[in-house]
Amino acid sequence: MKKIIIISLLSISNCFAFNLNGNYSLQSSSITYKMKYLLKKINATSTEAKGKGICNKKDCEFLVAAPVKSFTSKDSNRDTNMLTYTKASDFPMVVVKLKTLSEFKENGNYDLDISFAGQSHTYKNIAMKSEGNDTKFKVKGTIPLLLSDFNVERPELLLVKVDDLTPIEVEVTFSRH
Amino acid sequence: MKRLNLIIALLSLSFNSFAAEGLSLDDLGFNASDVKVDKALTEKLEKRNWMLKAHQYTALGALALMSGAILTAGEHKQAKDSHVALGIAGATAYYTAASFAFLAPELDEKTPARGMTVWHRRLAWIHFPALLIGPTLGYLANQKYKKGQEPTGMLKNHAAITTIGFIAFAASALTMTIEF
Repeated sequence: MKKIIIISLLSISNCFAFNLNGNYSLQSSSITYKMKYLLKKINATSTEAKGKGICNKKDCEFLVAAPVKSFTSKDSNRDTNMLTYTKASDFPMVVVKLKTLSEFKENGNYDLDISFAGQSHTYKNIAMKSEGNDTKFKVKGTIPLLLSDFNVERPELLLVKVDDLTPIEVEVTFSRH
Repeated sequence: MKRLNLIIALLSLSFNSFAAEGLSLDDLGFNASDVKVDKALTEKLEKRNWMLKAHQYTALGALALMSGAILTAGEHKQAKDSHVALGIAGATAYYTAASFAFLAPELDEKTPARGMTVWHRRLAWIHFPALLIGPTLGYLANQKYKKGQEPTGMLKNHAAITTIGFIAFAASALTMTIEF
């Protein structure tokens, strides 16, 4: 019996959802890319993203963008190198688009369009966790970005290239205005 | 004329519907400098990247050659040909690597160095002078040995000074390859 109660409670919590309506703007954000070299890992974060969302009764559209140069790691030289590999002087922004139903689930899967380094790619069924309500909500998730999806040459150290998989951790908070 | 008006009306209608379709980057209010395409910067970044890659490879070559020079060094006697050859090759590779780093273009929008790059540069203040003075003293000490004389003063310390330079140089390379 206890098991049934726990399972039903869990399923209720997973089904938790709120309906978005109106215009939203990005209040705070943290976007981090994780790059794996042969002997070290680089995490570079940007908190300078800007974003907006428009929701009607049926669906929502969100747009979040950050300047490529705003991603900073512990190592300034590495950040400058990344500007070269990501062709940041020709394509200075990373842009993420999300179109979804206005019903926002606590644990939902979304299709994200990412434009970066002059290429666009859609990542399908990306699991995102949301919390909050229709006036203010936070969304968290990790995008399994592949550098090859954007024709980005992989940097190398000691003749060994970095992993193609460069996960992007996203945490954004939107509020209605 | 009617046709022209119709085309203009259709074009403006399609343009408006496209604009109303969704959000664009312009709606986010970024500064012009954030979204500016900068071709001059592209060239500078590519040149910098190429030079720093060359710096990396020549420095690794210098480390290997210098290791060989240290291993072939004899004590208190005239230097072997292999030690001299590896020393000269190591020094050539080292100064080539250094020149790539010095001549790599800096960005206009210069941000202060952070993290291990700071230590990479600080260590150059040790290995650069040590690897300039040490081998020079080594050459002079070897000239003395050739004449059958014992080197004196600073000349006696050429191996110690060069070794300090080599250790600082190796540490400098490690700061770029391993996470501390």
